[in-house]
Amino acid sequence: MEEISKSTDPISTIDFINSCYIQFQELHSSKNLLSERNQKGLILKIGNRRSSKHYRIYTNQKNNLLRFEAEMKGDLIKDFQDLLITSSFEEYEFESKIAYQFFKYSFEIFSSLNQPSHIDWLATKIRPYQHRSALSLELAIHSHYLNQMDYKLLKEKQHLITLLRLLAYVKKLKYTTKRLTSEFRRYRFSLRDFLNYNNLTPNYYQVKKLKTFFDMVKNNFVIESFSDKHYRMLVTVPEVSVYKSEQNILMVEIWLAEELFDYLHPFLFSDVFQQKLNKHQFQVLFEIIKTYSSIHLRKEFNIAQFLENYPSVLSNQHKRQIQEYFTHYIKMLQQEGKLQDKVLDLSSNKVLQIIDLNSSHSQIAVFENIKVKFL
Amino acid sequence: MNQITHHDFGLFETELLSVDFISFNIKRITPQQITRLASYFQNLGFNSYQKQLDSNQSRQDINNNNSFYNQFEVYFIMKIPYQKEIIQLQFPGVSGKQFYKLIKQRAIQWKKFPNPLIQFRL
Repeated sequence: MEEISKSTDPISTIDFINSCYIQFQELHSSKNLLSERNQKGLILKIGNRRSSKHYRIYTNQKNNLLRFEAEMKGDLIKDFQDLLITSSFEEYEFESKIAYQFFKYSFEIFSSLNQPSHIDWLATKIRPYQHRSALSLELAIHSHYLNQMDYKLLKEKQHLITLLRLLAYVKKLKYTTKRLTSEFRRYRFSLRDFLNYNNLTPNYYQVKKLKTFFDMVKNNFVIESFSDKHYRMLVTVPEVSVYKSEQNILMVEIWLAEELFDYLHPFLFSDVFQQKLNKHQFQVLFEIIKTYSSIHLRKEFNIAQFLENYPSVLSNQHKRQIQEYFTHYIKMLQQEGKLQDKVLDLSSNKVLQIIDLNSSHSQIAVFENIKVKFL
Repeated sequence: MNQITHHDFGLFETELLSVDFISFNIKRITPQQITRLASYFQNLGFNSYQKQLDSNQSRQDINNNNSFYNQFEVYFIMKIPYQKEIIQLQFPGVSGKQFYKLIKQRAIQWKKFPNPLIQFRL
């Protein structure tokens, strides 16, 4: 398994190995750890070579690659041996079982790491499975990887959240299906009902705003927020219209890809947006969801920078309030099991517990907790 | 539940995994049988070498048939710690990839190997 180190990785491949070595002394204290240098770079060896599992990480100075390697033998693969040497060798059955063992062992080694850059390949593979049982949850919003860009306008943020909530809303509605280029669901619902679902008063201003949202969806404007190409295709809406019914009720007709409804999204959030939020709460929650919906396990928040770039002038009282919102919502994610207990205070480079986080910590890194069970 | 099984994984290629090393232990065989196995590997494109211990740097050709044209190698490790009745065959790097390719093509005659016990490195 090879992973190309990207320029966006916060630490170099050598620093990654060194950091792993230090942290594994605590995290995997019962395992043999050995760091060596060869002609190509560094090697970190984890576990006893004679045991059934042995893991190595290699750096390569020439191409700045990291290679993750697992050696499996004995009882661990004894059961698969028959698959291998039989004349009716089934490639898929054998390889999927060995791949499972590779990812299971990799996850066991890296999931609690506090410096988890360079293991995006592992997180990306495992992350969606934690939400398999939550596919039908109505009070949850599913999200995909988001472009970590600056959303200049509040409107852009609101449209994206409205889209995520729309996908959650339609789940409980009846629909018809039709095959266009692939299978689609056609939903019809009243605009007023969707406004109610969003806790908004159905006045002229809100109706107009929502109509604008559906126009935006039609032009696939919001979809650019997602960084995953395949997902962008899935979430592209081929048809949407807002029209008056015979009873003079504003209705929405929208076509959504069938595949979206059993798609394993990498992220799932409890629907905090169903409550009435003030604009600062919304801005903070959006920032947290955007940052959390990134490929890295390490999520960095520069709250001082966030305040500096805030779209409106803030009084000191508002600044304090915004910092408190950050602390509050980050603690909420941790209580939901989405974050590890530890926080890295980037200004002092000290590790602290999330519970001890307060508004004086303005530059922090938190670490995603992926909850899965390898059977 | 958030449970993961092997059904959630696909072929090595899909999972961006590749075989880097294959080895397997076999029951100790006579020098004549070793020479015959080396000839078999020769025909599969592998030159055969012998090492007394895995950690040894030096290697010896098993027979004089090793071909300059063969790109791949197999090592017969004659002494395995604590396992007197065993010898080990090792296919490192690209040789491991090639040997696995032959397994997938069902081109390996397993009956030639007494009691094989395989190890995999990905």
